[in-house]
Amino acid sequence: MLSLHVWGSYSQSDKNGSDISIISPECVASSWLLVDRLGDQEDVKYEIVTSSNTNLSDIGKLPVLITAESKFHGFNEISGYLFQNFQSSSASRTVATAELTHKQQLINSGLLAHLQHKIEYINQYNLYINTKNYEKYTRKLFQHYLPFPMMYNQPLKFYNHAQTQIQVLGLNKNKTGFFDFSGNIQDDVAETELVNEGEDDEDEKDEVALSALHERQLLAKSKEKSMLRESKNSLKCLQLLDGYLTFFLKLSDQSTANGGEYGYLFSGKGASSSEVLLFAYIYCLTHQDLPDRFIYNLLRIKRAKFLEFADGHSQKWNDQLLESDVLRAPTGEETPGLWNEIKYRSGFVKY
Amino acid sequence: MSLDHDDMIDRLSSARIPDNTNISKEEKTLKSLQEEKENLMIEQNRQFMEELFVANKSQPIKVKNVQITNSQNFRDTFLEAQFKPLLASNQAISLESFLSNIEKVSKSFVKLNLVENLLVSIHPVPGTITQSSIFGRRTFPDNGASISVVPIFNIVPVKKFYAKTGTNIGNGEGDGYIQFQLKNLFGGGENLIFDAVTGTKTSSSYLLNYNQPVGNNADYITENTFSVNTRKWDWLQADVSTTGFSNKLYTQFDSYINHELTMENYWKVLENLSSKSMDVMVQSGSHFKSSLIYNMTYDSRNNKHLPTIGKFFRFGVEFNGLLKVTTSPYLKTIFESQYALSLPKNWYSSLIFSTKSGLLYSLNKTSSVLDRFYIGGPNDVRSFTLNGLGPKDYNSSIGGDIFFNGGISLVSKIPKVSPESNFKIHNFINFGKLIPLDKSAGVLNAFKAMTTDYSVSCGFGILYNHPMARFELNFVLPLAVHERDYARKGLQYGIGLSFL
Amino acid sequence: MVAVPEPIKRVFDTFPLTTYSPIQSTTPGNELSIEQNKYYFEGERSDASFCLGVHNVIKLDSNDKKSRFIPSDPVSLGSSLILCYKNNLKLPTTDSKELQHSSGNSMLKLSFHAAPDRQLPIFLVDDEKSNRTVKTASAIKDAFVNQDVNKNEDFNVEQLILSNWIDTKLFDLWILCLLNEEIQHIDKLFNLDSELMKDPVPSYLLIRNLYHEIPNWQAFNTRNPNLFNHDPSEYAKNAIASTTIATKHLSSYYDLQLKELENDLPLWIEFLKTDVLKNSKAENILLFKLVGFVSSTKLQNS
Repeated sequence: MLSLHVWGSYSQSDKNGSDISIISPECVASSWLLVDRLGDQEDVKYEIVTSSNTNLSDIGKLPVLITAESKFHGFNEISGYLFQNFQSSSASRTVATAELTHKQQLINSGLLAHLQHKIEYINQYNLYINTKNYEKYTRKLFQHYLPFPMMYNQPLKFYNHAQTQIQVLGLNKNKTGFFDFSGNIQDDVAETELVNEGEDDEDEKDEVALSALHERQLLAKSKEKSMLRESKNSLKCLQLLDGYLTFFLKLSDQSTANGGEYGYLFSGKGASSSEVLLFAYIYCLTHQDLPDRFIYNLLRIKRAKFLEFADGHSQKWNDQLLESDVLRAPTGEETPGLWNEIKYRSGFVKY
Repeated sequence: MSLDHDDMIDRLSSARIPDNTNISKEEKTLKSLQEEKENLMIEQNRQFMEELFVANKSQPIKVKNVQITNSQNFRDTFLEAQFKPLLASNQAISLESFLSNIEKVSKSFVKLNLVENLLVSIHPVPGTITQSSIFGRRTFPDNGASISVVPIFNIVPVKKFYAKTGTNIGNGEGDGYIQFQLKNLFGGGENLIFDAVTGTKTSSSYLLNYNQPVGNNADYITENTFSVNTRKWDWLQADVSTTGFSNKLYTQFDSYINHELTMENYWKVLENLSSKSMDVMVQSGSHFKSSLIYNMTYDSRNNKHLPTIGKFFRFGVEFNGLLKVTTSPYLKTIFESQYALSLPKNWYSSLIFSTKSGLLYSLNKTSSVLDRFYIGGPNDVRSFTLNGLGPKDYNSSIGGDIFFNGGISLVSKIPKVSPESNFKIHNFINFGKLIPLDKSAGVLNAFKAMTTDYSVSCGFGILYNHPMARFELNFVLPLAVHERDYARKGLQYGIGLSFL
Repeated sequence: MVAVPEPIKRVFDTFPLTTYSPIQSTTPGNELSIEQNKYYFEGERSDASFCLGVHNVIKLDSNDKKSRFIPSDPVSLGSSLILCYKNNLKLPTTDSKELQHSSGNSMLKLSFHAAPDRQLPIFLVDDEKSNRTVKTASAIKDAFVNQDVNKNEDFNVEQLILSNWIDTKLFDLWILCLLNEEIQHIDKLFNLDSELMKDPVPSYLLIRNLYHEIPNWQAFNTRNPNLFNHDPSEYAKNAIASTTIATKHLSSYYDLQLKELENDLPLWIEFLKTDVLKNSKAENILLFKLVGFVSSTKLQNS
């Protein structure tokens, strides 16, 4: 039995309500690869558990693939294991790393690093630092993933991580607090789900206007400033993303089989592991539920062919996931609840 | 009658005391008459007591025992040591020396900050005094026999535990602090203080201070401090974080001369922020300091922040290199002096002459930027930015090894304002020079270089002498500068405890 | 703004009345203490000069009686080789201090506290007018390899991908190695004063100070928050107990990355054998970067 643990939610009643979370493109890519490789293998049983429990992993990060013998962490190791042990079927749209030439394997490895060290932070920006997406979408996701009371702390933690991570790419945070003294890099405290629920438009009313006009002007100004900063950051983010995607587009151009259109990078047969991950990232960046789809809009205009190609794959794999019906909710010690957390911390349970 | 003392406050808040203006002329006269009478009585009383003491200066007194209220706050051994002057001899002593002993004992309680309030009353032992007077005043026997008395120290002890927290917020900066004080910890004047500050200006600072008198003697104090802090050295464009111990032994004699012996063991890390200076870059990183410092002071000034009369000298010498791990061993001497004198009384002015000088002799090839002298600033050589004098390297003030600076200040009363006011007019001339010591050329050559070419500035302004600190707002102009000195013209604001 | 009236401005401008020449900023002794940390590259002299700040240098003995100096850590080693290659210089040797060999460009031993972002190498460039610019480690990286694939003329897209692979994967592995392995010559690697290291208290402080900073290099802990947020007390305990601070997450991740390297390294060797012989600028730089990491780790073991 293979169990892939991912970020996501499972709904018994509504099949479409189940979801592998876009907060982790690696989870999405691993799930796709799993169904792609094992979809029609009758003898191998597998499941995808939307446990959202990072304690299951030895490196504190999902996805993790648990087999009878061992654990595989992260997309790189999981894809390596799947490619090595399961032959591709006729329906498969992927090509095993071992089937590539040695140089292609090296480039594949480089592209994986490129995705995980660069485009990853674009995804973080899109989900957490883009104010509209965070407040109207991402923050609310955790209610579905984690039981009470764990869902309060986790989005904040991820928000803080994202805030420092985007600075790696030279992006800045969008908001500055009232007590944010210039010159220092400080942790910006995000509003929690509890405090700010449905209050988005009441910000100004809540402020006590001390010396009425002046105070209000200042507030309006700072609001305007943060909006300006946000659009500046979004533009920079798009520019960066476009630069990062150029790598793939150029590689595709080099591949003679594609004839000008965007296609597979290495082999006409299917997507390599780096391409699966790339499609997962594109799927997450342009997800239809996001309130602010500025990345989707850019790609649709500027890189239409590429987007179409990527969307085609994610559509196919998502359909396959839905058909295969391998998702299940976490049970017992797999659930990321408070009690399990305490047991884990105190050493009563080991994963 | 001295209303003068409250003059400043009156002027500032005259609106708050309307009843003064509303009362009629007669009432006013009555009030002042009443006050006059009161003062007269107090004065008469004082004169009477003085006469009494002078007349009975040699009256023999015998101290039977000493009593103290709230004694549960103190250790027996500690109290014993404090009362020693009174209980030392069984023999009768003169009234004069008895009173000076009382004074001595009270002072040591005050010096150790042990009491909030102290009142001494003296009770005669019944039977030794002839009850001839109904007022009980002329009660001393005329035959020369000694009187037995019991002095009673009525004290209100300080609060044992004291905690304070707060925040300071200013323009673009803010910090928070917390302070705990445990006073008179073991009933012998031992204090434990913990301080923590964190904010934008001081990124973090923690301090643990334990002090106590040596051998229950209030004149000798030992103070041990453990501190961790990070400070911004803006003039170097660097941060310095310091961790370590300081052990100090100092005296607090009533005479002018006092001594202080300190041993410091510190780990300092110089963290470059944006300096391009090679000195700062190469010396960035860890430094270990282990030094012994001796300071002697002579202080006869009437006020530490703004003296009008008196002299002050300080001589200090430091040797760094006690432990083998010392990274930059050196010898350092400092000499400071201040002389204040009042001009003729109707001028309401005083002159203050101050000088400071220091020499740092590194026992390595070069001195460390952490140990060097830095001069200039609103409290120091005015009309220059903080530590803006001396050697520069790529816009960083990297400090020097020899300096001499000084100044003359004329402090006078503001016209039409009471001479008791804490606001004064201030005129000054400052000078200073700071140079590195080229050991290959010799110390004598360096002294020669110190004889000419001083940076000089002058200015005038207003100062306010608060009991806690001194504030200055001056209009300053540099007269002579070196090319890379950071001079400033116009207004300069200074706040601090000691000024040049 | 109120304009200052002309007469007042004129009075103001007369101050200061006298200006002396600047106070000398250094002494021969001070110069010497800086120079003893410098190792000069050999080559032609020019008006502009640069200085590469590194943790420490290692003396390499060779056949021609001259010993060469190379930086002790992989990133600095790679950087120094690329600098030599780009500027036609040779590595510092034992006779570099003599004038006829010296290029005026040097390597400088520094503490990582000298860099604004607390990581080395750092690059100081003095132009002809002795204006100094300071470049941090990440700026050096970008200066060597232009990240814009459309504008980079030396690197094609594949080479750029491989260059980034070295900068991210191998760098992370280097940090993981520092955090997981018990490094025997940590004092030589990071130029911790050997006198101080003999004493338990300073050596403890120096090592703790160093290990406190290592996870911040190139934002390693920011990029991998899952490795550090698990249990801070465990992290601190280990930092105090020994020089290695591995926790469960860190060591698992280290194993994972090592496994990947095991897979990728033969591919690299084959790539270098066939491709790099073409000797283009890009491939040489790639080679130097890789050599930096591989030989540094080898030197640590010897």
